[in-house]
Amino acid sequence: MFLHNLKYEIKLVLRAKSFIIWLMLFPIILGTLFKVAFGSIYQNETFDTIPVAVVKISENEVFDEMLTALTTGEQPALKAISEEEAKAKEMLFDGDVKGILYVGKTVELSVSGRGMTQTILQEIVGRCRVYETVIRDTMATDPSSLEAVIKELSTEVDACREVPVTQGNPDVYVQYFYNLIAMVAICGCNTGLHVSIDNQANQSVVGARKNCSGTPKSINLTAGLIGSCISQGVSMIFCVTFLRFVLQVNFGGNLLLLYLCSVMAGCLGVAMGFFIGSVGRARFEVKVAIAMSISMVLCFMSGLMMGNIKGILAEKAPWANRVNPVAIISDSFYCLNIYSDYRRFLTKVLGMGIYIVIFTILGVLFARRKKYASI
Amino acid sequence: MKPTVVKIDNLVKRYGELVALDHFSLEIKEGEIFGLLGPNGSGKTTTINCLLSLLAYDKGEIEVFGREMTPTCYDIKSEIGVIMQNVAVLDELSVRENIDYFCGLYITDKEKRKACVEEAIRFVGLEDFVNFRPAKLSGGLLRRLNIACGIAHKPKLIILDEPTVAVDPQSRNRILEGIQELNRNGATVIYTSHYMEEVEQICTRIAIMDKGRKIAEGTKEELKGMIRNTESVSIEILELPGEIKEKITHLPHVYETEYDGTKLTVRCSGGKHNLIRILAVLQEAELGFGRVYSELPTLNDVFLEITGTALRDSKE
Amino acid sequence: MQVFNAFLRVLRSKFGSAIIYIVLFFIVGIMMTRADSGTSVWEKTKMVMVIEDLDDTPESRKLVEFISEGNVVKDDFTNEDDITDAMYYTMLDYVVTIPKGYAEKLASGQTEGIIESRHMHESYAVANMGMLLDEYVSTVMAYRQLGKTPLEASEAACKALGAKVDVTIAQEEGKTEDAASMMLIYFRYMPYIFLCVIMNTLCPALVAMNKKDLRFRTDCSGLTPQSYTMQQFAASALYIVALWAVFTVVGAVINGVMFSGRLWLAVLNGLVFALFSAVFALFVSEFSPNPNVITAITQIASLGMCFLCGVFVDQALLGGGVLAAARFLPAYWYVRLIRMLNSDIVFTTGEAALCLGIQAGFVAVFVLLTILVHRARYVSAAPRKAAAGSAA
Repeated sequence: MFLHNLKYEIKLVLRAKSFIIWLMLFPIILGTLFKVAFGSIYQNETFDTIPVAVVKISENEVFDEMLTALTTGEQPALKAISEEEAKAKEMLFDGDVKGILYVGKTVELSVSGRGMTQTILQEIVGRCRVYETVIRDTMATDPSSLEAVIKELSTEVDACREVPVTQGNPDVYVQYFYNLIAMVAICGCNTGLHVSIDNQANQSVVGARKNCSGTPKSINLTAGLIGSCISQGVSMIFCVTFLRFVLQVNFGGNLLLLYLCSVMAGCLGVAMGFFIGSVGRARFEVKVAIAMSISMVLCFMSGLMMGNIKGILAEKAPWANRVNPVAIISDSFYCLNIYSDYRRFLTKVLGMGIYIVIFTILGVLFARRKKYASI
Repeated sequence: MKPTVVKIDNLVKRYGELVALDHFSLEIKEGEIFGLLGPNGSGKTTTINCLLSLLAYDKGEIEVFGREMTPTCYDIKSEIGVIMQNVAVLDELSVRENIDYFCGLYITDKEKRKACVEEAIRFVGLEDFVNFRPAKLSGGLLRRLNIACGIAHKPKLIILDEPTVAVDPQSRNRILEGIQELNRNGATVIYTSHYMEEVEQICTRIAIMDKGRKIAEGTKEELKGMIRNTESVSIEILELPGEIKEKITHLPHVYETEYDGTKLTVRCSGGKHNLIRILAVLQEAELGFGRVYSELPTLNDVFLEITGTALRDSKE
Repeated sequence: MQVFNAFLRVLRSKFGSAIIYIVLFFIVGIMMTRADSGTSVWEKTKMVMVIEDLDDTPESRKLVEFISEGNVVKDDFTNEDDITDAMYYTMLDYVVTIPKGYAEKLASGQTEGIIESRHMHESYAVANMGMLLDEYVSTVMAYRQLGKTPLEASEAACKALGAKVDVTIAQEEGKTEDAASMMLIYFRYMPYIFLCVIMNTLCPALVAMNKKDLRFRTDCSGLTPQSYTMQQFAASALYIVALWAVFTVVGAVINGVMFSGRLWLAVLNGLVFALFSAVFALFVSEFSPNPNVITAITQIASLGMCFLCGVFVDQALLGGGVLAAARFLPAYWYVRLIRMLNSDIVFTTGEAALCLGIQAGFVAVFVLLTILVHRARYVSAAPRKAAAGSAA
């Protein structure tokens, strides 16, 4: 009876439209969109000369010299246009220039936004300011050393040595893919929901028929849960394989453990859905709404939409990351990537295991009712 | 004396203030096709659900095959086949897979189950649709599939809860014939419906329910014998003088006459040749008449007389 | 107005599941607003750092003093594991280690790798710190050319690098108030919120109203198809405007903002996008999808569009190719207008009108597509029916 049930449970899940959509198509489409969105973030942009208006307030020979250096050459950093203030402002608002330099005893910068170009301008002007200060000090102290000082300032220095924290992939955007896998896993709650509903007489007609049968409910539920976990596991393997080998996402860490962890995460999703489906007598649509809403909120709190939310929660409500099952799932992938020992990873796996056990036990406790007050 | 298959004693089921079953009792013998007749909301499905240990009830006892029925009596459940009022099949499985799946909840032996599945498919006439999914089947075929899923494991007790709702006449006849064949093969059948014609056609014994109570029980002849009306004569007549109507009313065995200007209805209790006597009065008065009907009472008449409402009018 | 009333009743019957989505996504919207610091991704932000001075010389202490300026330095970590954990949870941004022998190397003119750093998450602030450390050492070396001791050179370098550049952000007249920047952050995430809530609440109601059998029955009545469609549009519009008003007003109350000046443009921006979400829901409902399909389409459309168009990841970070493709999505123009209002890019009235106009264009396109699909699905049944009738 158990194997008979198991066989059909797997068939049911694999043929269900919701399975195809959520657990197959959804990760393909969203993973591809993520790859497209994040794939070009680290591309080197060609650096264009930045047009800037110069409004002269008073003489500043040192800055003038530096400006000359910045505006000459094959690919100069700046293109300086001398203008009156009013005209300069007009050019700024029209987008003809990216900033206005007010050159006097000190140099001030006015920009129209907070983008990359404006920040680069700020850096350039800041550097000029430092150079100006050093050169003024040199002229005041030992003018004969000016050439040596300028040479030293122009020499590229590599003083700060970056020590890698991890042997894995430090790319912060990989976190979005971890969250995507976690989201696919938690969407397995749809499958778990069906196990509950299809086995309770007061939730579906099929449940009523099964409750009248010669097969104990425990066997039906066990077969249902195991069958769903197997199907969900298949979809998780598919998802990870697609992301890793088709989209070439570098997850770092041990790939086999990643697969096993994903399968376990899928089982967590099934267990959660089973629990939600077992509680209460709400209509199927309402339970789906509850399951999907909870899943989305948990995914949000894990950083699927905003990467920094986890850090904020770590500061304001550290317990949130420890109890959020989606955060535990994505953290387990991250630990596998970042940390060389498996201590943290195993802690996360243990957390997932605890959740699976709790959801399953609670679901069984609610679903095990032999007789119903009403059907 | 045939053994009792189902015994329901003093069953009470409440949904809050509403009393769905009010001290309901029933006994069904082996080999019967027992009809549970009543309007919508009379408690038929509630009775079935309590019998199957799906519903908790407030008071009473239920025994099936001589033992108290509980949710964990899997050996008893293995001998019961259920055809629910709503079609209970899995949309993702084909016809054969559905029957095999539900049969597999009762029969573990693979070869035996395979034979049972094929037989069930033939029994309901779905040989041409074995690979179809439920979404592709018409209402009648879906009902047949529903039945096949319930009887494939050859149960000793078959419970059908309004199996012919929204079914075409051809499928309905097939279903009713099938039930009779199952009964001939040894199954006891409980058949609930609010269609009196079906119940009259196939049931050996009938209980009539209303508002959670059993109001009458017996064979159809016994039930019809409970009411006064044994024959209704209807005659189309354009003109009926009052004294002729009076004369007809005073004929033997006539207890009620009605004339609405075009049709005379005479209700008789007992007696034979009532029609001849009525026609003789009309001929004697040289009154012309049109079509003449003589009808035996139906279960609807039984229900009407006992409750004061028609079977179909109640809560529909 | 039978259809209008019936549609509102259908919406009401689905209010149970609708309120779950509305409340939850409203909370998500507020949380996203609170989580977003509002600073541009290119702005320098304070970092939380740990500085390990293993050299412990006056020169190294001078460096520590320089790095500590404008950053938050923590010294309560007892071991490496705690530091790694803190970096993972972004409670710690950067670790600087001044190895033993720093002062000696500085004196001898050695500059390569004399400071070590560690970080886990990339950001502009992190990249800037690396460049700043290089610049510091370079400036120290420059001052050494004047015959200064390493300590004197370090002090002078600190002073030179401490000079700040005065930067002002020029604004045209009618700038949005600073206090309204929180509201703009809230508005920035509205595409995701609106798409999710509207798709999950409106679409099922539309599907219920437009079931084939129900439509055929309605088509047999005396009601013209135009009247039916207009009544549905009217009921949907009423629902959408109510939803938009709730999110806008409650968001303003929670953020403590009064709408004024250009902030009204953000409000209008939200309305136009809400309308787009509604017509998108209408378009999807024409295919009579089941609830699972609706939810899947919602997630794909909302997450996909929002990631590609700069709702979750700043447009400034996205590649040129991605942005070029994103121009074909309404959320791109929505976010662009918000960025203009937030002074991330230049605001011009013409550009603002363009953003609104393009979004309105998307609304019109999807209305047309809906009508086309509707005709294709329902009208195409008529010729077959006529043929069957004539055969009989």
